[in-house]
Amino acid sequence: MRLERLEVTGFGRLRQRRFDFGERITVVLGPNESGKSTLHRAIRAALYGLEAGGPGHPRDRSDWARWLPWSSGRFGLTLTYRLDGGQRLRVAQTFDRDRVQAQVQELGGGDVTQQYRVGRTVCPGRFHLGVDEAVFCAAAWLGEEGLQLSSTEAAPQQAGHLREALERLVDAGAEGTTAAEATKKLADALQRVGSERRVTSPLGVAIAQARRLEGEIEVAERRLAAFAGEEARLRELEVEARLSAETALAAQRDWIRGRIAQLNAQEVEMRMAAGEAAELSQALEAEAAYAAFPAGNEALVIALGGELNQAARAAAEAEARWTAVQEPLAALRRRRAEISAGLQAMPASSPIGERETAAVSALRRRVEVSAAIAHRDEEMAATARGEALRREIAVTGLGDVDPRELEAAVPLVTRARTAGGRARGALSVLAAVAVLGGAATGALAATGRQWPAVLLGCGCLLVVAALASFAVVTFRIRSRARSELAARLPGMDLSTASLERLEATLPAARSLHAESRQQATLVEVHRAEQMRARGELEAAVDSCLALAREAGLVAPARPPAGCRVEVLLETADAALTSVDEAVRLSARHRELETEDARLADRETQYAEMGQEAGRDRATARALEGRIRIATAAAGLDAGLPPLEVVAAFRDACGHRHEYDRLAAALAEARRRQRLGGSDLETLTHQRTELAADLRRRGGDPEETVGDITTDAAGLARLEREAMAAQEKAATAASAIQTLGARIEGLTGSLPSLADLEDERLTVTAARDRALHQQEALQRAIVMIETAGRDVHGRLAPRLAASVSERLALLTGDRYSEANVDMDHFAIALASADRDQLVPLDLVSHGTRDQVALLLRLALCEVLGDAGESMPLLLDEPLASADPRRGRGLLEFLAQLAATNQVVVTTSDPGLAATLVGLGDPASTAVIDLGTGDEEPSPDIAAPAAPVDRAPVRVPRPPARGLREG
Amino acid sequence: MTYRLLHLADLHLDRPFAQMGCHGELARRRRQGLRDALLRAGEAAQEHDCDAVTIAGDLFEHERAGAGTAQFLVETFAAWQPMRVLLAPGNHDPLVPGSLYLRARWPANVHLFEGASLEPFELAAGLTVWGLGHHEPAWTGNPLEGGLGSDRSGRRARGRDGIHLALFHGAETGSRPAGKGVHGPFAAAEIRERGYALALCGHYHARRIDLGARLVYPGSPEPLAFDESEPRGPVVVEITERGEIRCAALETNRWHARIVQCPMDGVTSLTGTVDRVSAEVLTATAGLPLERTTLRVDLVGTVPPNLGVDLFDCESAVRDAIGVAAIRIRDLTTNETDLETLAQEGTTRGAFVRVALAELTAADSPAAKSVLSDALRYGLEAFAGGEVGLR
Repeated sequence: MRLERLEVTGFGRLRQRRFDFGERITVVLGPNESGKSTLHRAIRAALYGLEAGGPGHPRDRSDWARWLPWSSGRFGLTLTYRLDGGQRLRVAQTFDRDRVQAQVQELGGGDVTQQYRVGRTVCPGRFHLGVDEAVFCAAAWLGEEGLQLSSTEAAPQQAGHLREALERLVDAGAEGTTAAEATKKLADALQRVGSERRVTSPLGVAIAQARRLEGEIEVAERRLAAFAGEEARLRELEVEARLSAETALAAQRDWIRGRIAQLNAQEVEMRMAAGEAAELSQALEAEAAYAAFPAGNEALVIALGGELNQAARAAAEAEARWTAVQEPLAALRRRRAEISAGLQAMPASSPIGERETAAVSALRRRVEVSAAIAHRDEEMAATARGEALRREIAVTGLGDVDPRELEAAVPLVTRARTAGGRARGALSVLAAVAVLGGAATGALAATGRQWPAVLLGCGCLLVVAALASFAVVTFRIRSRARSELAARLPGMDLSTASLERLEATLPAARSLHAESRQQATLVEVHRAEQMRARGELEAAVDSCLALAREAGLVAPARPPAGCRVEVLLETADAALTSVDEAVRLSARHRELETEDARLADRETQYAEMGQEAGRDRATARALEGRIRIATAAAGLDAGLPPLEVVAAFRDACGHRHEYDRLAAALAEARRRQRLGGSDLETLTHQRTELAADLRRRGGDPEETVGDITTDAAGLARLEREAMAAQEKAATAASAIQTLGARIEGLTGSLPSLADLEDERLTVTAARDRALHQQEALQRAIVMIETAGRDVHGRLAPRLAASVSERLALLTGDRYSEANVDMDHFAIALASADRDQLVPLDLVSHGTRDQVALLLRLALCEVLGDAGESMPLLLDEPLASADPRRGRGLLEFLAQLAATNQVVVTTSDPGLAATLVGLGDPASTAVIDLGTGDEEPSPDIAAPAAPVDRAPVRVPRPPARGLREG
Repeated sequence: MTYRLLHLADLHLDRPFAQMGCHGELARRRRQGLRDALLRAGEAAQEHDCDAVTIAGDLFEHERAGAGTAQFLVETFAAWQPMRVLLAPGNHDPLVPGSLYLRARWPANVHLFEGASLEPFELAAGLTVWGLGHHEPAWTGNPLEGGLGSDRSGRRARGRDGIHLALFHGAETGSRPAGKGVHGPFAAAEIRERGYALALCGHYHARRIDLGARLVYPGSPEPLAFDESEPRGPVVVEITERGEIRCAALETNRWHARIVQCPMDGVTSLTGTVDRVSAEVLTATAGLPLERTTLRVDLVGTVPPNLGVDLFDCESAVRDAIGVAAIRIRDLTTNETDLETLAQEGTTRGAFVRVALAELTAADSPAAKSVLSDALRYGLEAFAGGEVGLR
């Protein structure tokens, strides 16, 4: 950025003034209070606006009030400047009380005010230079104290101040504090909050109190719970006492009701017993006749009567059965006599059983099979068939020929016949070709066509010759076949006709021969089979004869060998028939014996029935005798049948028992009459007293109550229940009294849980608040440290690089490099003369001043992001410097002006002249405020030509874009 | 004959008051104030010739109420004889095992509604009060289910003569304040539908007398939170022979609560803060007995970054300065520094703001956001060079 012109309408002491700046260097010359600093401030106000107060900051104490025009009139200014890219802008700021406004005009363009507005303030400097006003002030707007050039402090202190200023600038801008200071303040706050370990700190106290209260509340809750338990126990005891009292009362009421009911029942009983006794006396008199009846044998007589009744019934049944079997018994005995006669009539023989029966059956089947085979006539049929075949063979004319020759003759006959036929055919064709060929040839020759005639004739000849050759060959084959046939079939006619017949006859003759051979074989087989069957039949006949002999029978004689088959069959049948008859007789004998044994058993059973009937009759008679003996003393009628005697005895015993029962009932009634021991009047009195007692206990004697206990055991139980309930109620009452007293004593001393809870809530709120504060402060510290490390870590190398680049050029390579400590911006320089880095407080004043200025520029570049070169506004920078040091710095500024415009104020014309002399006349301007003339004074007029001085190397500005991000 | 009853609810005996900045002796005074409120209610009932007192729940806080409270209640109610006292337990004093309701030996004039659904109690000929008790601290059933207008199976039925009042602790869903628990929710329209002449309710701490909806919430007799300003007190309900109902609200509270908004614009120091807060408080509490007034002051507006206000110190200073019973201060101010502008700085402060804002954005819980917000505030105060004020 290059400032071109400042037009002041009114700003502090300046009014209606115009200032044109040099391209590189502008020297503002004037005495004190001439407006040099006002000019600098006006430039700043043009770039950043003017603070005019706000909430909590009165306007009359603001910058606006400070820079009000001294004389009345408009308050404002206009600054024209050019950016490095060539763009020219004019900023007009008006700070009038009633009208604060700003306008930014691009020269040659339009109004761009809105591009540079932040809130209500228009601040183009922030956008062009990339830094806010505070940083601009700290870096580019330097007063006398800015560089500490005239400070009398020791070098280390100066370096320390520089470091701190840098750190503050990097951490929070010129008006803030460093990150370290901020962290320190947070740590102080953290100290105020305290910690758990510091028991006197707010946090420690809160935590300790919270723990104490937790314990106290736990104890209090336990006590209150115990107290609540005691109260609950008291309530239970009260309920128990009430229930016990009610139970006792209920039991007493029930007892009284039962007792009253008992007295009522007793009265009724007494009245009933008297009536019953009278009735019983009358009945007893009616039964008095049986008072002495001997009822002692009642059980015996009844038992004997029962036994007699049963025995009589059994005897009657046995007799009936015996009578019923008399007729079957007679029939049975007759049958046994018949069987005995039959058995005696049968001949005596050895027993024949099933084995012989089975043998007879097997032998019959065997004889029948053998006889059937022996009777077959198949041999004769086969022989007749063979003869017939031989006759058929003879009819073919080939009867004498060996069948094997017939097989060989068949192909020879066929060959002879075929070859003859072919030969004859060839001759026929040959003749036709010869005739027709000759005729055609002749015809052609006759028509004058010689050559075709010759060709046709030759062709015909060739065909004739071929046919002739074929006919010769076939004739030879036929001749050889005939010769062989003549040898195999001697005497046979071998003419062509014979051969045709022979060819037709030969297959029939061959089959007839084959069949004849088959019939001969069958005849032989039939013959052998018949021989074997006869042998079998003879063996079977022998077996039949042997079986008859084994059965003890007389067997027929064996037929002679070679007898006819029919004879053999008759012999076998006779033997087997005799065996069958013997078997039948043996079976009949066994049947009769079995039937007789069964009839004998039944006869025995019938006899036992007769014996049983006799025994039952004897038993009944014995029982009758015993009954008569037993009832003899009763005085009953001796003529009665025994069973009627028993019935009469039982009836009399019944009367005797009734008499006894009536006597006992009478005694009981009389006893019941006597049992109460008191009379009805006494009973009534007792009942009245009990009713009154019941009323006293809340009961109603007139009330109908179900299930009243009236027996003595029940009343005793009720009495015990009432006593037990009374004792229980008394015990509960005693416990209630004790527990109630204890609870009453405890009530006043119980802790107030609400008080404790309140205290705990207060303490825990304080603890939580402190913990929250602690965490927030710790987080803030951590975040600041993190941010600080990050920013310092990135800025320090860039600052060092920026400074180093200019440093080498401006110091003539005496110092080649600057190092900036990352944490606290401690600066050290690398010197060509020394091996180690030189701390800033050890270098010369001049170098230190230069480094300080370079650092400020570097900060502007690093913190700003616009890429514009920043003009340096120096207010009396060399006010108290010694001449040599001042001269060095002026030279440095002159060189620095190549990259950054320099506006220097001074009241020293000599210094101004020196600086003008060091600069380029074309780019240097002098503003003399003392005369009010903007033209340079003659003494310090810029030289027309560069003064003679050492060549200056103009450093290139460092690369842009170093700002983070 | 006209029947009068005094209705109150939500007394919350033995309630802690730490959240209102009361502790120690002050908290005990506040709890005693609740007991005094009940005594005054009894006196008011006798003055208005009431026949009964109805209490719709939250008479005490079950967790902290002890034998002393039981004794106090028994003696107080006994002293009101022959006036009847009808008790319908609520969610803070439910009928759980160990409840004071079950442990105390109530005098004969006290009737405790122990049923979980509305059950009748004939207060006078032709006048029946239906009441229920909560049996758990978080009951969410409809209190009007059952009772009048329902047969045994729960279906609605009509046909009862006389005047019927409902007494229960429940949340009328149409007017539930934000954040208030839903215990025993019901709709106001159901009161009329079921045939009740009036529902005497408790639960909401703000008074609501809505005879159109047949609904009465007396509110808590004394303020229990900063936003519970007066007037406060029980309600006298008058029922004429013809069934007409009139309600009159009484103002019996002795304690007061306020929330004061205190703009902090232009304040640059702790002293200035105390002065500003004191002035605002005095303005807001004009005419109130400060020794029985509890306040919450919300600091609002924008403040410079170097103004670090230690809230605890500020509370103490204001309390000492004006003599208010209890004060809580919440700092809701915003820093006048534009954070976005700061975050663009290349300085360490700018980097700190960026880090803090990034962590604030990433924070997923209100607690973490609160910590980071305070950390940012503390950091900026530290960078501004002022004292860090603990919030």
